[in-house]
Amino acid sequence: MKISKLISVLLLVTLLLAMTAGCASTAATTTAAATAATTAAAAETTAAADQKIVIGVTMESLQDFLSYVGDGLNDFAKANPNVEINILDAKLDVATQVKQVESFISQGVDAIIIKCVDKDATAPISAMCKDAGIPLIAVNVDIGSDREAYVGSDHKLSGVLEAEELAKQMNYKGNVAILVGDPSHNAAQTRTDGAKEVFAKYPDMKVVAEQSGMWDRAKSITIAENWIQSGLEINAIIANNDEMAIGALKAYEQAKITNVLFAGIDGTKDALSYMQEGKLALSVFQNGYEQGFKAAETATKLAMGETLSEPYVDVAYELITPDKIDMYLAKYK
Amino acid sequence: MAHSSNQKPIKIESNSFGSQFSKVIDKLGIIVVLIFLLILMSLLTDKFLTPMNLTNVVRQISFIALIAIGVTSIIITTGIDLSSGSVVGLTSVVVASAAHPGQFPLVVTILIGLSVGLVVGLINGFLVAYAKLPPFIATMGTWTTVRGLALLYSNGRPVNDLKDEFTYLGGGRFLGVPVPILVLIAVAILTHLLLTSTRLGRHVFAIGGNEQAAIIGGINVKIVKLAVYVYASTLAALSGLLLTGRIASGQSALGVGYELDAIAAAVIGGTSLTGGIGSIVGTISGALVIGVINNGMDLLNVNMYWQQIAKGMIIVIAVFLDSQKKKAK
Repeated sequence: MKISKLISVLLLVTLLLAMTAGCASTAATTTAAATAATTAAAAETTAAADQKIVIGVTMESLQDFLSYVGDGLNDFAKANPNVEINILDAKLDVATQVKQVESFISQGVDAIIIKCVDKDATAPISAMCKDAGIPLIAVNVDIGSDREAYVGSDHKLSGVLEAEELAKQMNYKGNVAILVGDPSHNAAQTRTDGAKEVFAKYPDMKVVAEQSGMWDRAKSITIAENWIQSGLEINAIIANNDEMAIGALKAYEQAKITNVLFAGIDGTKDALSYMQEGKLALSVFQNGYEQGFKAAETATKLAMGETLSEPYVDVAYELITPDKIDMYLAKYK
Repeated sequence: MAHSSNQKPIKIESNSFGSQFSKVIDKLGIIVVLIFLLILMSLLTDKFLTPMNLTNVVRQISFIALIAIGVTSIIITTGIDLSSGSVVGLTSVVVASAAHPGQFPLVVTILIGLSVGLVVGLINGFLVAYAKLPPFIATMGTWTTVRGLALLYSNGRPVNDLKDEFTYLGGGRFLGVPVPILVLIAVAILTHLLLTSTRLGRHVFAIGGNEQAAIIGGINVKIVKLAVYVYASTLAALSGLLLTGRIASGQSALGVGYELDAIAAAVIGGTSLTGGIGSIVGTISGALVIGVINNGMDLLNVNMYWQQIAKGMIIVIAVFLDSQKKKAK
């Protein structure tokens, strides 16, 4: 039975190797880079790069919008052969995110980029990075604890841009219902606050309902159907993201109600096609790709010992109205 | 209403096993709670008891109810299925990528979608029945693996541009009734009959009542369990397929948390987590209780934070009342 034992050990080793493949390759290149500085022979393996910079990235998730942030990060690494980027998915779990940062630190990465799962639960991560002397960069959403830089967009501004344009299209009068994202998310809170501040400026506008669609299209269809049934007079629905706006407009479409305006945020490909069909009134583009690219750029600068003039790197939100669709559709080509 | 055709209380018994004989369920309990809620909501708002709103409620619950019907069958065998929400997500991206205009005939698209559930169900069933893993662990494994596959397959991106015949399945109406409701009625009747009037159904209850006795009684427990897991995952895939049609987009994150809603509907509907007891009428009533609470609170424009608290409390109270009623018998 020795052979079967051997096979099972081999299988186990293969499995472990497969599981840690991502980390292992980073570790290998880090060592290679370190050796390259001293041994001429090893220089061959790292080619022209004199100093390889390894950046660890832990993302709350890699779905939907955040996948574009991931593209930006990866493209920066492609454009800069001396930069290696290792992206891990924390799958919406705070504990997983902490573990991923721990493993980055033990691998000796040169900088860490974080899209936090919970902005108020990052203190241990900040402390670990500080102790290890590794710069920490927040992307997309700022974290509640120390970091060297934050690359993102001003979420409140997106809510303001969205509401101002919607108000304009409504001639500054009418009833508005708000579809809020996950209410525990900072982006949902600030976008909603921004929108409410705008509507409060106009005496003929009123927020008549507010529910959480949890960023989700399916859930928002249900909420909008129930609003239709409730008999509330709603002239426009403003959502914290495009998915919820699309959910709402689908409910109204099926109920054959046509005189209601819908507004979203993100400028997703799907949202743009609904706007082309005249179903979505407006959206706000958050440039996720640019956030990822600039985060990688900022991390590289910090890893090379440069200092930043400003710890906040702004990636501006842009208003998308039907006349600008082609420009934004081109971004997805 | 969707289930008017089978709303009478049913009694399930396993004649061949004496120990099972006492476990005759009275399903009236949760239906009383449901009727109470219907009356309460009608009194609170005149927008509730309209044909259009009631149709909405049933359509809203139909996606969870389909999953809950499958999970009920599994729970009766003392098992559990945590992977159903992930099956919804994987089915969504797979079926959407096979539902572009001019790609396949609709039947093929549907079969591709359902095959996702079939495969996951076979894996779940094999792990539980043949590899003897605890169902909780086995389906927790597939829960995360399948969600990962959905992300991998779609690269985390929505799959759009779906043909009209396909979106009709989720958003359309046939003879004035939304298609998902018709599917739910058909599946509910079929499953009810399978559980109550076939040998397979009696075996499902027998395994849940006493697995050892079932084995001694000559029941092929492995095959029955495999069948139940395959059935449940296929229903989860069906739910994912309809929901994808409804939102007109394939999304890897679709169905997150649905497994818990489905289990909640089954348990509220009187399915016992210790196995051997459960019914489709109960489960659908349980799903309706959750749906009516959600809908009623939206109609009343209840604050979103309070909605979650109220929903949790009403569910606990509903099950408590139901259990008191059973105890009194």
